[in-house]
Amino acid sequence: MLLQLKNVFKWVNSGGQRVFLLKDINLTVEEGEFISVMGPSGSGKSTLLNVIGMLDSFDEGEYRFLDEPVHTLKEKHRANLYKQYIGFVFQSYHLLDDLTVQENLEMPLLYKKVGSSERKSLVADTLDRFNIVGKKDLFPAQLSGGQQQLVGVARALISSPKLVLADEPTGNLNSKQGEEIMELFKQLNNEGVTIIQVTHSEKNATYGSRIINLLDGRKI
Amino acid sequence: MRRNKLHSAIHIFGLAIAFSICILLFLTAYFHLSFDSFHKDKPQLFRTSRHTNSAQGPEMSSQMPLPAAAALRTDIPEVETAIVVNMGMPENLSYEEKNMERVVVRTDPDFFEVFNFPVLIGNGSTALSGLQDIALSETTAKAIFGNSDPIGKELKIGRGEDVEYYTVTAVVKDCPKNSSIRFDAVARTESLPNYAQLQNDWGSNGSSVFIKISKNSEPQKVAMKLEPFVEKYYPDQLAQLRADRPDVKESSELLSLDLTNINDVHFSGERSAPKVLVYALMSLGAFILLIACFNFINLNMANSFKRSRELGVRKTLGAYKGQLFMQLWGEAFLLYFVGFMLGLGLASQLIPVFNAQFGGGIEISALFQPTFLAIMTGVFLLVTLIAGGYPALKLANFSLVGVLKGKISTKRPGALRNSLLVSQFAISSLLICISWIAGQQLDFLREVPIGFEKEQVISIPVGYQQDGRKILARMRNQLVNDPNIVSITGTGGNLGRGLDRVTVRSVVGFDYKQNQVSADWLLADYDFLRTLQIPILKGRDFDPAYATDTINAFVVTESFVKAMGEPDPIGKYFGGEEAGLGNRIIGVIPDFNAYSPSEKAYPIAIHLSASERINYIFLKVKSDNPQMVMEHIAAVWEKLTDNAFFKASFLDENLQAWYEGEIIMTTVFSIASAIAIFLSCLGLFAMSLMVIELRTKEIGIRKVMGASVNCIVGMISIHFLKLVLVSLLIAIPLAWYAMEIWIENYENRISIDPLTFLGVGTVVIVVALFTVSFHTIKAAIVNPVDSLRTE
Repeated sequence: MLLQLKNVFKWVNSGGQRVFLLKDINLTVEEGEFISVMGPSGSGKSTLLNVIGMLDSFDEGEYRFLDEPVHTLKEKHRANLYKQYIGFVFQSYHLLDDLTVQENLEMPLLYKKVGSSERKSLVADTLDRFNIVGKKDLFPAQLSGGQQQLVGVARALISSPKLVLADEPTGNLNSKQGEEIMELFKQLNNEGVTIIQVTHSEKNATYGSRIINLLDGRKI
Repeated sequence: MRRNKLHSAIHIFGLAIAFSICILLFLTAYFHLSFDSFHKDKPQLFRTSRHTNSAQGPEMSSQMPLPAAAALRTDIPEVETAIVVNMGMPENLSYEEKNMERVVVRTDPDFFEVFNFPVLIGNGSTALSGLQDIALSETTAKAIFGNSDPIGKELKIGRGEDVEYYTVTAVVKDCPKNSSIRFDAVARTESLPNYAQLQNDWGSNGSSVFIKISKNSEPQKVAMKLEPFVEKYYPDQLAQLRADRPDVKESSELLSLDLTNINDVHFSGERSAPKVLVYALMSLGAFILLIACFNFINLNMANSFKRSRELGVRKTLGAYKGQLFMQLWGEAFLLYFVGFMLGLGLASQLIPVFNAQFGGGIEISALFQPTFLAIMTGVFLLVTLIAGGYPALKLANFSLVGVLKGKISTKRPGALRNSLLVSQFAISSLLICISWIAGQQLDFLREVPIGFEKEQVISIPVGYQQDGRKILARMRNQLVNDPNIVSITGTGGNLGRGLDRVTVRSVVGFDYKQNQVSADWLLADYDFLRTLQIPILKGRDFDPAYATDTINAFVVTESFVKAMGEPDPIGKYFGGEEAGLGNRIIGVIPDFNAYSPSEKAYPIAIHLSASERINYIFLKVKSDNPQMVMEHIAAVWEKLTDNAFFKASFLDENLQAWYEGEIIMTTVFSIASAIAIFLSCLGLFAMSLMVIELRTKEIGIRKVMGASVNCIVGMISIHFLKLVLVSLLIAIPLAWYAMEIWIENYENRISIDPLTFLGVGTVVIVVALFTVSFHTIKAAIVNPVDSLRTE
């Protein structure tokens, strides 16, 4: 078992009323799964992803990640946990405009305090693996959307996470580029990486092994 | 504007402070530069001064002998007129029951025609036609005669037996504060008490002599004619100087008369204001204004770019480029204007305090004259145009879609913005270095041991009207049994500067067995050493039991003996060709500082006299409540002197005057540097906010990638740290160089410690990081989920 959410609630107080973003979520993810989270806008998909990614906190319930009780962990410990095991892919790529492809890939390793030579070899491996060696000195603005997302995925995978969280990874791409990224995900999943993706597209959801539908913060 | 209250407040506040300080500094500089500028014929008016080059080195004095004026008038045709202006000590003016001390200037009858001092009542050209005529200043006339007509009234000047009667012939407007010639009343030279004796004496210098040259003659030509003039009238002095300085061939190098245009009188001569200081004040003001304007431009520009979306919307709604431009410019204009008005208000409130603190005579009204108005408008337009106009133009030319999408952001911090920030911090660091080092020098001067007792010593200026010897004797009588008073003495000159604002110094030079000795000559009285608690090293103190002590006995300092090169000084004679004629040394004391340690210290020779004027009475007090003793002494003084004005002060207060220049400099520079760094930080504060807002997304991404709060704070701090370091690199060598030059002027000086610069650097960096940290920490702890939620 990779992670488990038990009776997770998340809410905000708005105008004296409690608005639930997540309501009684129970979810168990095994290693090697490929899960698609679906639901209309505002149903809490991204919130769920952020909670799983430990970027966001929740108000009630339990969250165990690799048998660590995340909800009781200190901020620093939690940060170490996600730095080590989780990679993120965003809809709008979120690459740093001022850095080259190579530097963008290197960044997460810097924050994991990986040694210089090891960083070099990891970056080189990754460039190779994603076939972007030729683009390593380009800036994100010089790449197409699909290529940027490719770099985004590469960045998420460079520190060999157990879990990749993708928030509408194909949302900004045309259908062909989207397909390529989904194929990539499928391939990664086959290599053993657990993937949770948020998507609007039925077609993309079919790449996954399991679909979770959310409505108003509730799993249906 | 209302949208961004903090932003506008920073703007207005910073501008207001900078403007008020700037106005004060510029007005002070203007005050000094405008000295004597109100004279109508100022290109033709000159003050003469003597330049002598004796064994003690070159010396300049604007004090001239009385007959010089008449001689200049007759001997040099270009000189239209030459007049004596004798500025004496305050004298006692009385009319009926009223009594007051005022400064009476003695001069020649055409005084009011040469100089522009408007005559209110009476006729300027005939005001001084009678030998005993007197013209009063408006305030003096009002103080003496109230509202009644003063013309023709008889005024008594002097005290006791030396009373002269004058007839009031005119009332003159008070002399402006920026006048070098200051008077409360004007009378004829002939009415000087010792005129008969002085009128043909070329050796006694006590008055200023001003000349007015004819309209078309050149000052250089007149100056050339002064050379034969000196040969003609100063034969004895020239002969003596030639004997003193056989090495100097040209007589013009030994003794010359120089002309100083009346515009420069304020900045030349013995008691002049240093022109450098005035320029320093001006540059200080300019610096502060610059910092504030940089802030303004920086913040306003950054803010305008931040509002690019709003402007984009306005543009889609059909606003023209011109309208956008006017909007941005107008907003900048408004902010600047409010800041300026506040600054003006603040300055006018501060002027009285400022004048009291620094002894200036500045007025806010001086600001409203064409030059100042032009400068102010110019700066106004330039700054608002750059601050408002530049971003407007830039935005107006950007593609509409780009602006709306928010693509036009100041992604890169921008070279202009960075260089403005660097200059701000360079200026601030420079000022901090200067004030720090000046402060060190001041502390150093204060720590120079002075060598005598300054605590609980009261110094009473006797004043011009009293006989110091008589009063000293009477005081000794009165206070001999007072347990609170240890000893009483009299001196010719004050130590430090008391409430009468007078200091004198006389250096005498002589040869002793091939050794040249220059020494400070102090006139004292019995008990001088006891009053100042100076120990005797060899020989004895002055003693009334020896009748010759008032004639030729000297107590000298150790360095005096050393300069003489005499191993056994007691009983030796100096300054006379043979034994018995010169001055005899009776005692040796340790060196002490009779004058400011910032000036060159000479050996000191103390002597008594039976006839020379005693100008100051010193009392050593021993009491738990010296203030009470002071009051008691005041009562005794008033009884003894028939209610003469009591202007006593404690010696330790007087000595503060030694450091006055340094104190003013350190105060002004400390205030200025505090304001400069404050304004710079204000700018940095707002700018860090701006930069961080622009980098919110980046910070979010980095956090998701695992960056800790410390990483983020460090990253942004380093960005600003680099800029601050660059500015330090610019400022420190400049400060070092400038301060090396400055401390060269001091006899006792510190060596500049490189650690000082390290200290300044640390302070500036810490302050800057602290300022930035407000925003960085806030930005770094923000949940990245919030900053990345853009779509």
